[in-house]
Amino acid sequence: MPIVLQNLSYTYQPGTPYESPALHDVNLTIKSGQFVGLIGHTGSGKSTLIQHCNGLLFPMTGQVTVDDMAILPKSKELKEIRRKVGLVFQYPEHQLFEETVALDIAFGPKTLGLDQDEIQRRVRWAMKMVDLDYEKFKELSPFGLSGGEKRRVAIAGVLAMQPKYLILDEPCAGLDPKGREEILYQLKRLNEKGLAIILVSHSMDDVARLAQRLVVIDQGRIVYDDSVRQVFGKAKELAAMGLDVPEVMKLMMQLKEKGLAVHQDVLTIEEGQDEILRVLSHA
Amino acid sequence: MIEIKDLHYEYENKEALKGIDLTVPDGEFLVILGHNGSGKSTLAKHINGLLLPTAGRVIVNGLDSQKPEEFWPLRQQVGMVFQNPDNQLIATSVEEDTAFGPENLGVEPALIRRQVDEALAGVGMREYKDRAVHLLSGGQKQRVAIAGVMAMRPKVLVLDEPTAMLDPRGRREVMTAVQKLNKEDKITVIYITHMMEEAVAADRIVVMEEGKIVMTGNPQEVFNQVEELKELRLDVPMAVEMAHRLRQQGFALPLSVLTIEELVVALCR
Repeated sequence: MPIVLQNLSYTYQPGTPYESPALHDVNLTIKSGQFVGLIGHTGSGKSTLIQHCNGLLFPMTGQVTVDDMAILPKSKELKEIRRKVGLVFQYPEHQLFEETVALDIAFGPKTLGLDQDEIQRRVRWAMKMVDLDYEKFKELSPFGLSGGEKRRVAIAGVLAMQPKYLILDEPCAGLDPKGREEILYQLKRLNEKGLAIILVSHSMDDVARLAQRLVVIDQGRIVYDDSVRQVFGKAKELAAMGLDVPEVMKLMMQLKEKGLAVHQDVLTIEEGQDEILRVLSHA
Repeated sequence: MIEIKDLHYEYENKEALKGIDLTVPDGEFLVILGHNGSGKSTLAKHINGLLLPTAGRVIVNGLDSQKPEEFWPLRQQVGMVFQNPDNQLIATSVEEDTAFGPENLGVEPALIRRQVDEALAGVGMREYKDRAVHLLSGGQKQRVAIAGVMAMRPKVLVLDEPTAMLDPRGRREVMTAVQKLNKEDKITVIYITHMMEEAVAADRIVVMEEGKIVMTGNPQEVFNQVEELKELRLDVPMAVEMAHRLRQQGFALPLSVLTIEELVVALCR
C-alpha cells in the first residue's frame, strides 16, 4: 500500500497580493519499501510536497492518501497517518528539548499510549538503528552531543514512532563527510529492513548512491520520475533547472567529449573506476 | 594580515582551542577543514571578536581583539557570513538589507548609496536591488548576506559553511562571488567548508582536529594525504580519489590532479 498524490495543487496565501503557486497538478506514488530521491532547486516545491505526505498541509485541489486513508483536515485517521509517515525536517536537532537522550526519543511513543516496556523497547531499537549506544547515551543531555550525534537522536525520535515511510529533508546538511556517510549508511540499512525512504537532497552524489528512483521537481511540477540512471542522463536539462549530475558522471562526460569510449551512466566512484580501467586497458 | 598566536579558548570547562598559531597574509584565500566539533567555527568567531581568547592573541592588521579601544575597529575590518541566509537578512528589500550595516556605522547617505551599489555589484546582485528578500533563491539570499557585509568595507571575509544549505546552482553562485571578491578586490577570505570540491580553490588549506591545527599546505599537499584525511573524518575531492585509485592500479598520474578537468587532461594524454 502506497502514498498516493493525485492531481495535487497548492497555492500559498491565495487571494492576497502575496499569492504564490507552489505545486501544480502533482501525481506521485510512493510504494512501501522504495528508496526515492527528490531533487529540485530551493523554492521548487519540494518542502510543500513532503508536507502534504503526512498532513501538515492539506491539498487545495486533488487528493493525498496514505495506505488508502485520505488526508483531510477533519479526518480521524490523521494521527495514524502522521505515525505512519515520519518526517525529519532540516536541522532536526533544533527540535530536541528533553533532559536526556532517552527521554527525547521516548517523547513520540509516549503520545501513542504505549506501555513503559514497549516505549523502552522502541527507544533501544531506534537508537540501535542510528548507531547510538544505548547504555552510553541514554542518560546524556542531547545538548552536549556533537552535531552528527544530535541529528541522529532527532532521527531516532521519529523512528521510535515506527513509521512505514520516512521522509528526510536534507538530513546531511552541515555534517562533516564522515557524519554524512554514517547517516546515509543508516538510511540504506533502514531501507533494507523494509522502510520506505524519501530523501530530499541537494547532493547529487548522495541520491545517486542510494536512491532507486529519482523524482525531479521544478516550479511546482514533477518533470522527471524515473530510475536514477535515466534521470541523470538528462544532464543539460538538469543544469537548466539549477541542478547537477554526480561528480563522477561529470568526469565521464568530459572523458567522452575527449574521445574516450566510456559509458556515461555511472553513479559511483567504483563504477567510474571500473569503466576507466575497462576502456584504458584496451587502449 | 591576521596573526593568531597560541590561541586557547575554554568554555564549560572544555578546551575548544588548544594553542592555535596561524598567520594569514593579506589577500590569501584560506580554507579551514575539520569535522564537526573540531574547533573551526570557534576559531572563526575569534577573528572578528565574537569570541575572545581565554589565552593567546588575535591581531588583525595590528588591531588586538582584547584591547577595548581596538575591538570595534577590528570588528569593522572582519565581516562574517554564516550557514543560514534566512538568519542573516533583516530588511524587506535587497537594497535596504545591504544598507543596514553602513547605516548603523553612521556613514553619510551619499556614501551609503555608493557602498551599497558596489557591494551588490560585487556579488552580481545589483539588478535585484529592489526585490523582496524573501522571494530570492538560496544562492541569491546568501549573496545578499555577503553584500551586506561587504558594504561595510571589511578587509577580511570569514564564511562559515556558506553553501551548506544551498542547491547546486546556489553553491556555484556563492563560490564564484567569493572568488571574485578575493581575486579582484583583494579581500582576504577565510572559508570553512565540508565540501572538498570547494576547498580546491584555496591558496592554502588548514585542517583542524580536537582544537588544534594538524595539517597545513596547498590543496595538492593536503589532498594527496588521502588516508590521513579519511582518518580525520574528512574526504577528498572526487577527482583526487579517482586519481588515487587509478594510481593504485598502475596508472602514472601526476599528484597535481585536483579537479575533474585536470584528471581528464592527465587521462587523455
